[in-house]
Order: sequence, then structure tokens, then C-alpha cells
Amino acid sequence: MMDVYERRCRRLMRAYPPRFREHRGEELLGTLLDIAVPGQLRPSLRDSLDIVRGGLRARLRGRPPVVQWLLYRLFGRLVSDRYRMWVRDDLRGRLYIVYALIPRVMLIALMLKAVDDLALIPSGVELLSRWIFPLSYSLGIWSIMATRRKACGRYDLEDVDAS
Amino acid sequence: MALREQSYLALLALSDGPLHGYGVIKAVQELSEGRIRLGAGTLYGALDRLTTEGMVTVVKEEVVDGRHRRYYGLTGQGREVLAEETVRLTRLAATAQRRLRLQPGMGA
Repeated sequence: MMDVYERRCRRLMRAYPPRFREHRGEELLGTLLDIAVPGQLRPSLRDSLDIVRGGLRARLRGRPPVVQWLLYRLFGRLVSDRYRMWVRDDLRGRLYIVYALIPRVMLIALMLKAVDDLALIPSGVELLSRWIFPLSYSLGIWSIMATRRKACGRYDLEDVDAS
Repeated sequence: MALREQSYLALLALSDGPLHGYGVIKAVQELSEGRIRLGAGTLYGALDRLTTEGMVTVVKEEVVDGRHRRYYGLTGQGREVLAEETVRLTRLAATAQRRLRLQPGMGA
């Protein structure tokens, strides 16, 4: 049975990354139940802010360094193995498609634009400029699918469906 | 290496024997004479850091009344760092007292 206090704690604990909640969530919740006085309906403002801050810090601590992160986002280069759980959470995230697709599509569109501007395509062929968006979009989708497959293989992750 | 006050107090709380999260919160409150009540987020942040640095380790896990508990204990290294930090703080306090005694207007 879950009471109001517990439900509110669990909601606040969503500030923590899933990997933390799986491993330590029940323990953190146990401590939050311990500090509650009988009949308390919600954690105090101070405790609530403390949980959220702790969660955001845990997210920051588990992140790959910025260069690795950029290469991963833009080119799908995998980060070192110690961040595999971060990658798993990233692939499972509800907004994964947004985080992953936007930088990829932008990068591909820029590259296609450069190819177009440098007139590497014979004049008279206006195919590229007209198709630049749908082409970058499809290549972007293809590219993040490839990254996802590669990540699942390398980090040995099962079932990372974004659902 | 200087520890943050909350980390120092958490280590000190564990020096008597392993405690679970709430146990550490209570012990720190007593040690600080009621001045510091660690929030759960701060506590687990500190415990995580101390565990990564090898000063604290999980010694036992249990479920009591449906509440999950992990007990944390000091490692040898943790005890060493705690002792070093205590020496440093003692020296600092002694210096502070000497300086205050030398100050005019303090009865000198």
C-alpha cells in the first residue's frame, strides 16, 4: 500500500537518473520514510529541494566528459564503458529521439549544404537543395538506429526500447 | 585532504560502528549539537562520494517493515582520513585560541 507521503517522495525521486533509482531508490525511500513524522503528508520544502538537488547532482556525476558526450551525440561514437548505464538510460529516455535526432539531422543537413555550395553536384541538378531536409532526416534516423544497435552490442544492453 | 564538514561528520558518525542512512542523519545531528540535519539527498550524495573514494563501504543490507536499509561502515582508509582531519582541525582550533588570547580587548 502506498500512502500520499510515499507517492510524493517517489515523484520527487524522479530527479534521480533511472540507474540510481533501480539500485538505490528503495533505500533512499526508506530513509525518507524514516525521517517522516507520523501523519506527515508531504516532505518538507527543505527536504524536497534537497532530494531534487541530490538527483540533479547524481545526473551530472554520471555523465560522460563533454568531448565524449559531443562525439556520441553528433557522430554516434560510443563513450567509455564506465558510462554504459548512462547510455542505457539515454537510449531508454522518453526524449531520446529528440536529443539524438536534432543534432544528427542538423549536422547532416550542414554537410549536404556544404556539398551543394561547393558545387560538387553538376549544375542543373537541383535534386539536393530540394531534398536536403527529407534526406538529412532519413539519414539521421538511420544513423541513430545504427548507434543504438552498436551501443546495445558493445555494452551488452538488452531491451532498450524507448517505449 | 580537507573534507567538507558534512563528509567529516558522516565519517565521524560511522566511527562507532556501521549505521544505515537514517542512523547517520541522527548521529550527525547529535554530533553537531542539533545544528546540522542532513537531508536525504545530501546524505546519499556524500555517501556515494565517500564510497567511490574508498572511505566507506556497504557492510549489510536488510529489509525492516518493508523499508530497505543499507548499513555503511568505515574502511581502514576512511578511519585514517578521519584521524588526519581531526589532527588538522585540532591544530587549527589551537591556533585560533592562541590568536584570540593575543588580541587586545580580550582581557589581555
